[in-house]
Amino acid sequence: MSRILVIDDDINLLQMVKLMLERVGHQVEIAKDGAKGLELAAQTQPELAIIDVMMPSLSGYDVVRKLREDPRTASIPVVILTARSQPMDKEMALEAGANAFLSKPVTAQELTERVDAVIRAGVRYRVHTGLLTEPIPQQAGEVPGVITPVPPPLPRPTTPPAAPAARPAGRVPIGVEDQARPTDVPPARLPVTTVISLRGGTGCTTIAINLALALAAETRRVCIADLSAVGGHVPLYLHLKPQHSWQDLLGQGDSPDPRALGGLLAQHQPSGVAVLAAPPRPADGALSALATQHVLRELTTTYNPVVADARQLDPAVRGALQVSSSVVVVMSDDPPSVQTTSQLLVLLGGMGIEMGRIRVVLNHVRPTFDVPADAIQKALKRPISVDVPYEPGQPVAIRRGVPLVSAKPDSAFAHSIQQLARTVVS
Amino acid sequence: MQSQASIRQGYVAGEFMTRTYRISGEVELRGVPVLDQLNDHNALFLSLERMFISPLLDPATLTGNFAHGEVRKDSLGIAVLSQWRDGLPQREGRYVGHDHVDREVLVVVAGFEVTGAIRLHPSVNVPNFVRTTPEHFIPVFDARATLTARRNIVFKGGAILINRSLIEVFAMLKD
Repeated sequence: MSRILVIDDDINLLQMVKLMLERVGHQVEIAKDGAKGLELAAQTQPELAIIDVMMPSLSGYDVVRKLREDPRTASIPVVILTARSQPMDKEMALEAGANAFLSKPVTAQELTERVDAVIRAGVRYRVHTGLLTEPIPQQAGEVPGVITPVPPPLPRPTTPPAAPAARPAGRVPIGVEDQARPTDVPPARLPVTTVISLRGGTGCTTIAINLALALAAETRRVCIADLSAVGGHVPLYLHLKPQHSWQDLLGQGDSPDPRALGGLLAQHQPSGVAVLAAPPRPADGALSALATQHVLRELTTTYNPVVADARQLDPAVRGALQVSSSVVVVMSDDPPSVQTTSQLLVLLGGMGIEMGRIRVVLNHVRPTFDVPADAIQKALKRPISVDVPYEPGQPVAIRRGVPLVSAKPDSAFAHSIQQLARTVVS
Repeated sequence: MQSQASIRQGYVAGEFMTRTYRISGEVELRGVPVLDQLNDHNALFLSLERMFISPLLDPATLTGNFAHGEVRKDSLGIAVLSQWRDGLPQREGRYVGHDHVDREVLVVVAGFEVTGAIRLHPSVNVPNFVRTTPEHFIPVFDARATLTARRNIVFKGGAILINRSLIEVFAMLKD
């Protein structure tokens, strides 16, 4: 239980926030304007203050600045809660000295989670969306607060970022945002293999996981990133229960905090493969192409290679494909899969993915044969790189959480995956 | 019981941009969505409560606040709604429908470059719609408005309502 001060000129909101916080056991005091709030803060020394921005006379920003100036109140963590929710407002709030920013409307869960995280972190930390915590650069004379461990920063990328597009100074095409401009120059390739299938049931995740484990068996540091936007299955196949997923990075724009990435990874102990999980349910949003590339760039500073499991063609997957050194297209031998793969290859060509980067894998997911491999190659107008035989032990492997390359390393299935591993890293 | 700490019930918060000011305020609905209030030809002004004003070139600094205020609708360039449901009619109709599709557009209006999607039935020709609709304001969904004079000033919203009479350029980004 914590003592919390809420400052807002809207009495309805005050009552609502008070009720939400009291329900989870906090003790709440309220103030109807900034001056009264400052007085109460100095008297009662709350453990947290929640402050609205838009208040008559003293604005929320003014209140935060005055709290920080007064030694009696300087160590009170502050959450700004406002209907002004544009990026410049958040920036202003954090500059003024706030520790977190919430935009109205806010749900009880969001509010209590953020409040708890800010109280835990203390006045010297900022808590962002997804409860990611970062230290505030220390100022002279600042009152030390409670320190929460922050994941150590990942080393800076070794791969140089794409060079900015050459463009005459001052000329910006209208309707083209700054972040989109680097598409003029293809982004630098990374040691990333994206395994993709747009048809369900072709065993795309199975191939991705087994490929990652086969690469890890060659004493490589491998990470598998599950880019599924509709509920990821990688942890299920490996019997992992990750607490975090890439969904925690949503809301951080195109450059998610690299320090947070390490804390999002789960470890598959038997193989040493790190897993960046997808949310288990369809995600509330998606990473942008640039954010995905940023994440992959950071991951490849520690892991080589990163295997991305992709089962749709959303901006995140497009971003991954652009920077992947190899792309594995997984298909089965049924006509719909052949058709989908043919269309996918056309799409990849349209995205500027050279055919030399693409490996087509024919995965036999049923004991019976449908379209012969020759016919598939003719239809696709390109060779099949690896033919993965049907493996009846696959369902058992999933149930046990032990992929076949580990459970049956001498099987034909494992050999074909090892062959694939050689082609993607060669 | 309300499960969200929001603004007052029966009100919608929005950001209203003229060529010089960012005006944040609450619109009392009285059963009429913000878009319909903006498109009401019988009223020249839109009433706002809890109105806070910032210069457009310094949009995070509050330079004035008023309990009530009136904004002349035809001087508004854009209105930014954080969620489109806040300001548009919920019924199936022109902008809401299961069969509607998004068409990406660029609109230059009152010093802003707005990109986003116009959501209409696929049979509707979007440029024709923009030219001929009798409505003053049209919504662009999942939109961002970049101030042309200061490109670091960007407003994002679930919907940005655009004053059609101040449109300088309209273009389809795809199609």
